[in-house]
Amino acid sequence: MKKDDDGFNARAEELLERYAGLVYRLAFARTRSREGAEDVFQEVFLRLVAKRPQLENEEHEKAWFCRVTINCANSYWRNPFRRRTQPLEDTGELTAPPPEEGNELDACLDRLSPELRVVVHLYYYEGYSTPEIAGLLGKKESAVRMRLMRARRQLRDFLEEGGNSCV
Amino acid sequence: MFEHDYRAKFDEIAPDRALVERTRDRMKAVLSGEKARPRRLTRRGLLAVAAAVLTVSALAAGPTLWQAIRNDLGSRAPYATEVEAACEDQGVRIEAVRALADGRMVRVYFTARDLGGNRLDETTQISCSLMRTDRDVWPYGSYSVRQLSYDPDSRTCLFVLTATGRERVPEGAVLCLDVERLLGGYQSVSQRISASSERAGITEKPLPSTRTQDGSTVLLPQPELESAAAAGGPFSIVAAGFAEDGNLHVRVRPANRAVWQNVTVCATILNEDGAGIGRDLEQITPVEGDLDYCLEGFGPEQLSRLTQVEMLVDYSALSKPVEGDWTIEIPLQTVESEHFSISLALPADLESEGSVMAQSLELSPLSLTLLCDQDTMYLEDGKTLRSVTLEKWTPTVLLKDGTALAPTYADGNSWWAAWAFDQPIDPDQVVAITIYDQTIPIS
Repeated sequence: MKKDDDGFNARAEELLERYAGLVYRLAFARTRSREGAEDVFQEVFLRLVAKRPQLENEEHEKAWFCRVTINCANSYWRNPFRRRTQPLEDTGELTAPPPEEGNELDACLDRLSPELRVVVHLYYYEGYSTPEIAGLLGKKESAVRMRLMRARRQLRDFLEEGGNSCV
Repeated sequence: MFEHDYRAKFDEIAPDRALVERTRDRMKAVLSGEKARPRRLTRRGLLAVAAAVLTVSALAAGPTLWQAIRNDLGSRAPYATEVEAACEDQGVRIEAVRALADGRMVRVYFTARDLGGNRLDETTQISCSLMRTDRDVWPYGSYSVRQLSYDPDSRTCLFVLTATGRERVPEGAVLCLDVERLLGGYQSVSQRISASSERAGITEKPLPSTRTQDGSTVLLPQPELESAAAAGGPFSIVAAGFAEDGNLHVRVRPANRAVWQNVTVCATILNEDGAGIGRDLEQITPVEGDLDYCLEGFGPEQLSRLTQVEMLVDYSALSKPVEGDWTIEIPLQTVESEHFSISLALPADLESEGSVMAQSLELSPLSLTLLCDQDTMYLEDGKTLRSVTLEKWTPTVLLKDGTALAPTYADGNSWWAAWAFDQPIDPDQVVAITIYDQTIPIS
């Protein structure tokens, strides 16, 4: 390993431990797949060591990891090799099982678009405000609010269909 | 309830230790300066392109809207085609009137006319989704809708939908525009109070409170916030802190003239890891024209975890949202484009190594698109994309008469980029295209 003059190597390992959960959960929220989340997870931390960003404080660190995770997750789906579809009859045992009882939340999150899921996760799990989410996503605050509003409505509609309104 | 369930669900989701260790090893490899090996992946073919026949005819929209469309299209107007697609619901007629497509970029002009009221205006917000009728998603790039104009005489809004494509939109494609909601008079406002603010901060001391007839405890307005509210915006926080019931409350004064409002009050609370979590104040009590929001179970003993309270309001002074089901199908006639195979190495950005091979150009009267060989986009792991900013390689298009054109960047991503011509061109007049100081003759 190269000489670690500025202590970045040790710092990178600390950041891996500290933000592993945040990055993985956000990637999972966006991709809704373990495989996708794992790919995005590795991509994010490889970008960390490739770009060596100057992260001034914890707030800046968190924002950097959120932003890069979203970007990597977007690239993940833009990759045409992953967008290739498979005929249903060829999927065999890979076909998803019917939703289990108690999985209403998963089922309705699956129905949201990836963009809406990201906003929901940043708001409800990471605790970001709508202006902060707007900053992370490079969108107008009104657009973030609109996404949040649409997500809430879709979640409510879907859960009410199943008789379990929880939004 | 949702918030709790969502948190509980995601608290259970964590990366495997093996994944973390694999990632650590790969980070170490990068930090040690290990070189990446080139990797080959199966190439994806480009879609075939067919020629299109264009028609120009009169628009169904009125003269004001027609002028707005013509202004927006500019010199591209002759390439736009008339569209006939309309539907009605909730007393609103949605009608597509014009479309312009050259495969990579699509514009659809459509109107929303309130047949029986005045629920729309020049600030109308629209919620809609776009897909292709033969696919259940929009398989291309981004799309957005903006309002171009409003004609009060006919009570009609004009919108333009702009979509870009990472794939070509094939000839004969039919777009499906699904409008869910229209909201005229849309406004938004927010206000944030920091818990540690000296002037209006939140303290452990209970604020003056009262009880409503149904027994709910609510805050009384705080004079300093109330006077600021009187001079300020249409929605304001007039009290924030702990009420005499021991819970966190925020009292909001709505705008008198709001016909519809959606108010959210959120507290940011630090969790055990020190991360700020947003929690909505969900218990709402109307009181003397105001709204009191309460976060039950969050008392003064937890004040050190509270960082701020925030009010977010979407509202309209004109109308309630008009929600309905409007679906229109819009057939596209794409402007013909020509394809040229090229082999051009473009350097990756500074933080990446190597280069990316550009493999083809698509030239239409409206735009020029550059596509890269996706095999060359990846590092050895097959997953990590090389960083390359195609936007900066602005092409120069040389015409037979010696004119050199520099089209304007329109859209793109990591492996394709499109530039639009300021004026439509005749592709037959193009003799060469220069990108990154390399000239490609066009025969």
